[in-house]
Amino acid sequence: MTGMHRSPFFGYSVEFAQHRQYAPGDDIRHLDWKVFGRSDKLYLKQYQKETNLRLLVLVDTSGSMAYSSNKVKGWRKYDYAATLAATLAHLALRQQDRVALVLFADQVRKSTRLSNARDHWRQIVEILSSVRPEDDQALVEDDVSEAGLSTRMTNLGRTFEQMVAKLTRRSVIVMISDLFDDPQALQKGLARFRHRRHDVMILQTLDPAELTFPFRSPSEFFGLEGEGKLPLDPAALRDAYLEVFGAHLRDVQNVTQKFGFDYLMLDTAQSLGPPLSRFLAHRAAAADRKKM
Amino acid sequence: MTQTLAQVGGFFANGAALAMAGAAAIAIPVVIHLLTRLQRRPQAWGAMRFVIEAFRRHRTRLRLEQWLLLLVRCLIPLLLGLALAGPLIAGLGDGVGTDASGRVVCIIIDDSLSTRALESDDADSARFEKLRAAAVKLIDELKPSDRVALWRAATPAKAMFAPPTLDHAAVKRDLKTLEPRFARGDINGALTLASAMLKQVDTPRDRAFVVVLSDLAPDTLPIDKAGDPTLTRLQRQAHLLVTKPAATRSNVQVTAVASRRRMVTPSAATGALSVPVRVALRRFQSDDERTSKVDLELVARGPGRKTPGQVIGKHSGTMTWQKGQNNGSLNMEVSVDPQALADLASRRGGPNVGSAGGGRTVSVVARLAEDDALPADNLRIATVELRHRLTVGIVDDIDAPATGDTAIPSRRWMSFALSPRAALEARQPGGVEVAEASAALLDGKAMAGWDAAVILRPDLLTDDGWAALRTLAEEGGLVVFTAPPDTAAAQWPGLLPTKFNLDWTIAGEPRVLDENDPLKVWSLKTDGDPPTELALLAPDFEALRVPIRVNRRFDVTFRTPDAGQAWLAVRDGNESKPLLAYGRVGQGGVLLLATAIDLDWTNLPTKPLFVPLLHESLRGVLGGARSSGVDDRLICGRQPALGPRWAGVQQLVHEPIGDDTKVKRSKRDAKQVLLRLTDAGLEPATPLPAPGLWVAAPQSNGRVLAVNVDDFDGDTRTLNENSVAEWLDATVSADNWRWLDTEQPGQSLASHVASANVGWPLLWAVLVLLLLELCLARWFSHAHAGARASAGPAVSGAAGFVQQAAQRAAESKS
Repeated sequence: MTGMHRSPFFGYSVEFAQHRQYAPGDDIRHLDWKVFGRSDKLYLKQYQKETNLRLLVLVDTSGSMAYSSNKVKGWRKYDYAATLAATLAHLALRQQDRVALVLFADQVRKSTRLSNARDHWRQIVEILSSVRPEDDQALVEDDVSEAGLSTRMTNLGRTFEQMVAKLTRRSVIVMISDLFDDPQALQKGLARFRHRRHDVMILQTLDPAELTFPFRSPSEFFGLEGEGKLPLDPAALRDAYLEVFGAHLRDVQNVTQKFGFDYLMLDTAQSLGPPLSRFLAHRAAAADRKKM
Repeated sequence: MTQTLAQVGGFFANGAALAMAGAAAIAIPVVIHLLTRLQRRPQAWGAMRFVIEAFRRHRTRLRLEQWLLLLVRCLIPLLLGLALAGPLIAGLGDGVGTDASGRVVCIIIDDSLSTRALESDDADSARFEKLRAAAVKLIDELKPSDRVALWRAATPAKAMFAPPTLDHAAVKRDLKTLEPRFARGDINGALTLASAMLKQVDTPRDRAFVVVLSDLAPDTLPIDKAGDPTLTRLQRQAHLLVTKPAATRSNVQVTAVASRRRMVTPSAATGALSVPVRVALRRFQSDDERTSKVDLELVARGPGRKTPGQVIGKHSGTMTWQKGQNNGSLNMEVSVDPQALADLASRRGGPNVGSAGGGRTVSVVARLAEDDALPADNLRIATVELRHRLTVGIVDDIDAPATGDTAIPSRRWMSFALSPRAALEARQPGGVEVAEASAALLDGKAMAGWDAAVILRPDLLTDDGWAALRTLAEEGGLVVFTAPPDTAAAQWPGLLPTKFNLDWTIAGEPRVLDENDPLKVWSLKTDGDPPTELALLAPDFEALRVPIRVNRRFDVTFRTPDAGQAWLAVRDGNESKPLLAYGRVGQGGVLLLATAIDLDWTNLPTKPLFVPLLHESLRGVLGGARSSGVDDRLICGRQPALGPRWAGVQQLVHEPIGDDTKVKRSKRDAKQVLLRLTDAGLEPATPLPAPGLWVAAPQSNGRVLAVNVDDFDGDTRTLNENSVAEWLDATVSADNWRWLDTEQPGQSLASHVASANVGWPLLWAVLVLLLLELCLARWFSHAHAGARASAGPAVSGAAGFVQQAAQRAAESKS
């Protein structure tokens, strides 16, 4: 995994930063032959310009992220997103990349500084584990419904606006969210990121029930983001729902493709590893194709 | 068990109930729908915005689906109820086509007197038998699902089975025990009852039939009037089927029999008892010359109800009909057989004929001695009071000296008039026995055993005397007042109306007409019929009044027209003033002769009118008090108001007349009618059902009602068939009625129904709705979508997108 990050600043002069032990697969062009001559060990020279990746992990903490169709064994979408964020942060920090965590819902609710310190990952995990989307009083105190559920709605436009204002240098932005917002807002935000030449990865976490709408018996649906109650026969509305939801997903995908950003939809019923590794490999391959 | 099943079946066959149940069942799907809405499980949902959006887009369709499904579910029980409300149950029960099932057949059978007439000279059966046979056959030809209601149409029309029943056997059972009554037919009343029942049952018109089984005697249908509201109303409820009129028959009937005296006493001359009777006859449909023999019998009741009556007198007469004559009468006199009367009196509890205090009510039976179409009206009965002796007290100033050697005192005049035989010969039993009492000493004790009192000196009466006279009158006696021969002013004219509660005014002084001119006197008003009590004097009444002159009298005025009757009146100028005034007091009465029995006042005592006037007044008033107190023409089917003499009577017990009187009657045959107290007094609680004697119970005390059939009900002629058809065509229209084929009555009903049954179409509609509901419920529940969801990922929408994304990921990896 080391050395696979594509620096947004390639083409500039490099500055030596440190040595790193050779691993099979590393580009032998960066071997430090002098060190090999003195110590008979293979070390790679690493340069400052190559390792100054700034990774911002944006995690959605809106009310809808608290949903889980399997209350007993299943993960909430937020659980899945937090795990994903911690994983990415861990990978980045192992490569000395600077990582920041940003929690958002209707706006940026909480964030950490960019850091590649060794204990920064612990800090990120603590923050992620401290957040409970359904009743997180630390984030917002006045947006809790009578049922104790958060009523915060995702507001991508405002979040992106705040992030664009904060980011002064080009960064890699990973957004982990169910993206239950207007695709137009997503498009506006991504356009601004694109204008600032940030690299954006969209990881959309969805519950399997949201993809299949498997309900049969008449129920009274109430929104986790304060949309109110709606008594209905879900079986009668299933097709219509899937149609609307599918259109939304297509819009999201089209928006991301429009700006050339990477997009991955994750099903919380599936394990995290395989799709993530496939995604990163796909991304690395794409980077290689661009270099060539 | 059968009855229970019939009741259960009756409930299911009650169209209105089932229709209402179906309508009520509409609430079931509505309630389920509402309960389902109330019992929705809460479902937290993250992607609510997409659900809301989907709902917003498809809200109209979803609501339409819900309403459509709810409508179908509501229609199912409603149509099922309507289908069952008709003839469905019956149709299923039959296992046959439904075209003739589930009908309501209202049978009106005419059981009036005219249906007792024989069908023909050769036939043994009456018209009613033919009507009954047609009714039974009609019921036999009905399907088990058809409901039958039955009314009998003799007055008063009465329901025998209503509302309609499925228990045909019970209806037939009652039909077979039904006997025609003695009243006239009231088809219109029965039709009114049927109409009311049909309104309650709410049966479709095409499945309701009113079958009128009648001989169509005159007055059965008002064919001489245009339209009939009952039939007009009925034609909107049912089809009408009517039997054709029966064949007209000739018939002779006894229309009236009456004693010409209400009370019969022995002849003053011979001492014999004889009853003058007038018998009226009528004949229908016959105008040839012929004779009709009438047998008269006097029948005395035995001491007990089970004892047959004994004939104590017989007589026969013959009516000779002239060509074209339809009405006639016979005057006969039946002599009482003294030996038979003595035999009857010797029995324990036998009649008290001859005693001073009692009498004997005997029946006068007139029987037509020939067979004709209707035997029931060949016999008629009346009652008459037999008395051997009446006791009349003459109240005078007994101790006063005679006014002159030649003058005959009032007491003597009166005594001669009341009992001439006793006065002239040795006293013999029978007739009128005269007693005398002093006016000043008169009281109840002195009047013991009196039937009547003649008060010659009312001015001398004491309070006890007035009270005793009032009691005598109230108990059925007659009190005759005459003016005292004194012309001085007196108080008695004022006291008399007060003491007897009569609304009269009597002048305080007598009027004396020109004493200087004895030739100028008042004469009697000679026109006008005598009162009922003096009916026997009618032929000679005018002649008897002519020679009467009055020159002194008291002015009597009735304050109200009903306050009294002027049996005799004098001409006073242009006015008419009562001379002999009668007022009813209790069960008896008061007679006031407004002049004195004195030749200085009037010549009445010397004229032929005086004796019969006194005797007929006595018998008329006393006989009226002893009689039923009601109209002598009592007929079956009525509820006569009984007079005060019937106080204490609880019920009337029937005693048949004619040949039945010789038959020992069993307790089972006894007919009894309870009496009830109404504003008009005592009256039978139910109409008197049969002719004959109706005896008061538990104590008869001579209180007997003679009840006969109404002679007009025995009209054996029938309506013209064409006239009836034309009238029915005009009244209920030709499509709504038809003649009933008494040979195949069921066929008359069948053709009406074939095109009218909506039970099966409704049932088919229910079936279609059930299938539609299944399909709609399946489709609207989107079970197919659920099946796709459970079978695997959806191929469209979000799931499809996921599938596509997965495929792209796989392609990228490759």
